[in-house]
Amino acid sequence: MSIELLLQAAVSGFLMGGIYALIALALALAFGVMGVLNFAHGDLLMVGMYGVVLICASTSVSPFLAGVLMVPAMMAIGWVVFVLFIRPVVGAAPLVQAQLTIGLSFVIQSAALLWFGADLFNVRTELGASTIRLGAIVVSMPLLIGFVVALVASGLLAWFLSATVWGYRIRATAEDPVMAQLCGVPVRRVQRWVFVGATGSLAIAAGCLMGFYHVTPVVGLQFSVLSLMIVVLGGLGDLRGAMVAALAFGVAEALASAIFNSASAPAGLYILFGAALLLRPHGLLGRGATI
Amino acid sequence: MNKFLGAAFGLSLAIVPLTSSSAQAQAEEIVIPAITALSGPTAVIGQDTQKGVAVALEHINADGGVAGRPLRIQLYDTQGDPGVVRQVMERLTRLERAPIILGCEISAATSAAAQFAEQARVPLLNSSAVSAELLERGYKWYFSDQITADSEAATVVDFVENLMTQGDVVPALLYEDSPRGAGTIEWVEALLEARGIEIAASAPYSRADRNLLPPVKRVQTSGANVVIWAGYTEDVVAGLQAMQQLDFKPYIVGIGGGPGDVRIPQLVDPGFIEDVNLSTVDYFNPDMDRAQRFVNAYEEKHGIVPSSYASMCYRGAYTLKAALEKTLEARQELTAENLRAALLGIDIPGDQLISPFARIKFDEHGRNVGSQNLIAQWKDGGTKKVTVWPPEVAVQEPNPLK
Repeated sequence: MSIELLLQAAVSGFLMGGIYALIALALALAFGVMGVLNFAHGDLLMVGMYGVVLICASTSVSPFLAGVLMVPAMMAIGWVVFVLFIRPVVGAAPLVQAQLTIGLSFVIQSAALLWFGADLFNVRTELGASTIRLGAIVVSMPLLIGFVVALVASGLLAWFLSATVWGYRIRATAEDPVMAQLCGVPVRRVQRWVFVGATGSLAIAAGCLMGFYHVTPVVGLQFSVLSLMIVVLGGLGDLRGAMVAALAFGVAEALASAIFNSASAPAGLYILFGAALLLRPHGLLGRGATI
Repeated sequence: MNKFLGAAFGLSLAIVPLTSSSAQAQAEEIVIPAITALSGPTAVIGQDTQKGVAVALEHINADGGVAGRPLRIQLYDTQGDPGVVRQVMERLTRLERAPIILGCEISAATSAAAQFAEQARVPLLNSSAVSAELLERGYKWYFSDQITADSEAATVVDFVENLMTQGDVVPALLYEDSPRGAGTIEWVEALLEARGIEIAASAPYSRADRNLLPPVKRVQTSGANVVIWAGYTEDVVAGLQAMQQLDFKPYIVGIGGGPGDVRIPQLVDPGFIEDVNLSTVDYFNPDMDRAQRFVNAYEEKHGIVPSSYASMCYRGAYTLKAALEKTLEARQELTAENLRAALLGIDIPGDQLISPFARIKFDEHGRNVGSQNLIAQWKDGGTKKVTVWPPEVAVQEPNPLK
């Protein structure tokens, strides 16, 4: 096992972690404000990825720009999903929420299968094979751009939450919805717009992913599991924890693949995840809700 | 005379129902179930199967059906999930009393189906799964007209040995870690070892890995110039992109649905596909003369060149037809026992098949003794798969080792 290989894995894992962060932040934010763990989160991301493919195929723009163009459409989808499925279960038992969002996940997957078939789609660009070399370390250009875009989007989200009136309202709702309501915060509206905004941000993440990845009707499931793990590892509802957990997860995933030269690498990752939860039950930064 | 007329009238009355019921029986449709994954992670197999079966039924029925009766193959979705497979098999064998089932499934799902078929004593005709282990279980009701992982491995190693005649070969193994990928690579590893060929690196990865730079870099740093790669389409696409980014151009000998997927040139830079001499061991290639009727009809019907997945149950439908016909021609009922006996007795010559097989003939373990692999290589700027191995079926020479 050479240092070069480990560094290569760590760098590409860190960049991937940045994109994971944007995906997981949307889930963490929605959970923080509504208390609903959305198991269809990855499937909504998958819808965004198909949207990016369609835009790229019809306009030849880059997937990153296509992701930005998809934001209004994804916000509209988020609105519909919130009104029809999420709002009725806000405050309901976790099992009811889980059943409903898992059901929604299957519906979205089946719709994608009927619409697009089971074939794999990706976006081929001039950038696809381009790299930057840092000594022996190769940095994939689409991954790097995806990382930067995701980082900027996450930064904007952090700024929005900490420096705007709507950000204060969102944080107040996440902290204590009853008190926020008593203080005049329109909690219902905040919840709706947070879900709509979080779904819209998935379009940006979809653009970042489609720079180097592919989409199939079942791709959402793995991102749902991934974001749930990151949100739990970061501490339920803790945005900064989710950010740190996403970066750590990206690096750990790549290192596990590089170090454990066997099929047990993913299992090793889950053992690490379990150990982290045992030692830090309130998340990596210790500020999340009780699981 | 009156007696004679009376007898003739009476006889005609007796014959009419017989002939009409015979005509009815002749026209009666034969419906056989097939299991495949129309949804779920391996849905691409089921969807291609559906297209291939549709063409097979058009051809079979246009050619007179099965002993004059039209054939219909009813597809059942299993999601490629062994749990769902058991439920579907229970329904088909116990409720619907199917006399035979066609399997167009991945190995894990076929394993569950074969186990169930054995208990239910109903023949399962597998045309898809390549697991060699299934044929060693001593099952009496499992038949496979497909190639097997051990024969795939032997073809790959023969091909690599042929490359060794052109220069130094340093082979490495790259594979997704499901039973399909890891299972076949185990056979390859054993054969390479038996023939004294040293392996430079062995790099497994999970099919769900989003980042294949680390395992590909591991192979690159090993100094390998030939990579034996077992993978599905999604990981082969990601792996080829990683190779391109690392500027790593080995000679690739692939296994599994990925390297030979007809969609690969749309998903990866075709120039790079040719740079790495992407080759794949397979049981079908559209350039084979004997496959032209299928290829043309498929292209006309579906607007795309058929994949190997599409060819599997086209071939399976013909094996099924042979067994059904043999049973009906012997004036026997289409029961599970009779169809099992018919499967053991069929012998379909290679020139009637769309696969490179010498024949379809089952031994007592249900293995097709006539199955044979080919190696196809992407040529013409990485846009067309050409059969290059073995020499007796090759259309062109394989690219030389640089």
